[in-house]
Amino acid sequence: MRFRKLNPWLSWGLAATFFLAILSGLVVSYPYHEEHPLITTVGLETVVPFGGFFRAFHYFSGQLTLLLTLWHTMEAILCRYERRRPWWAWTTLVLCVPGVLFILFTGYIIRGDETGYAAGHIAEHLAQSIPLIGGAIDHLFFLVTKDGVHRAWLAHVYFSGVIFFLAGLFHFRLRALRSVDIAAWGSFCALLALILPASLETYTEATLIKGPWFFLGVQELLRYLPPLIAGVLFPSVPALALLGFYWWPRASAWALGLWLAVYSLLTTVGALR
Amino acid sequence: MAGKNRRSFLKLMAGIFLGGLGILGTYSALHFLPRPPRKILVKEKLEPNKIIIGPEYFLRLTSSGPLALSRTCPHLGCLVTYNPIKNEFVCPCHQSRFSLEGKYLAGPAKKDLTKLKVIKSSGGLIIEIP
Repeated sequence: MRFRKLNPWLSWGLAATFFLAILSGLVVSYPYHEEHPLITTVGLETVVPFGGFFRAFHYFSGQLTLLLTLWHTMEAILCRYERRRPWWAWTTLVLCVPGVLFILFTGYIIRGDETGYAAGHIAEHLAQSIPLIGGAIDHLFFLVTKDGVHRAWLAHVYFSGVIFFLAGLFHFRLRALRSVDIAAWGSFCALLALILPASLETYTEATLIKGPWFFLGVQELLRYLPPLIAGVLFPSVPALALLGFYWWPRASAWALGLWLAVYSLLTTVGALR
Repeated sequence: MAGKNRRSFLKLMAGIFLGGLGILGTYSALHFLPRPPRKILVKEKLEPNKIIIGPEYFLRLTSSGPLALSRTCPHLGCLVTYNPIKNEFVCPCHQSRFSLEGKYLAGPAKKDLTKLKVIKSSGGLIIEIP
């Protein structure tokens, strides 16, 4: 059986943008202090030379990493890549998708702005709603009420390193990442950073705040359903469907397609509010 | 002789291990004990129809005295804000609404805003944040 091939430019683009997000993360983490997240983030934008540019570069390289991860996953499914991997490799790679989402989400929390504050507290309460292990998950990654953004910041850094280097060692082979890919995607991120500002919301006492674009659907659903269903079980469906592709590709494709349709609708409603 | 040395060494190690376990257990137990509430002094003078919006509380004067409400939404912990158009409190994350008395009106929260203890002092009002 012949398989379709992945688009190499976009696949290497994912590796390049992830690499650039980590490099720019090293730069922005230097003036950042997790005990004063908002002050140091604003300081990075206003006081540190080229701080605003580096923050925007980090922001857009991170956003591109997520978008390319989603694209790469869809392409891998369409190319039936699960048939060419042992189950454990497929499982590990699929778990990297929520991992990347988690990195981006914690990135919002550690800004410490209005969106970040809300995101942190929502994440904490959602974690606590999980039976038995919820408290442990909260203590590991969030605990924002008692400990500020410290744990979310550590999770952001650790997950970035672990996922990138594991993928770089065993999946895409970091050594094969060409400088031309880094230069091209780096230029694109720099262009975005020069044109568009990275989002940062001050405390405005607004009566409506919207979460990150990829969280809008969950935010909308949380208005109608209990936190465990809307914020934990429902977002777990695509991850389970992706895992299930190895054994039940047809049923998993249906589950993923239906979930995407519902989530797109919820996101649209949330965005239009 | 060698056996005696080994036994005393093992005893010492067991003592260190059990002592460490005791310290760790005490520390963990202390960690789970409820912490004393934080106290915030509000010097601003309360007037009828005026709402003082603090970083963690709403404070207003009612017929029965000062009323302090927590700004933490009972749904998912977002910071509740005041909507001057509707004259009510609203959670900006999922639009739960509360009356000026902190009573639940609509939305996913299903619970009232938490009332905070207010103590009158010579310097102003002291609000206790649990």
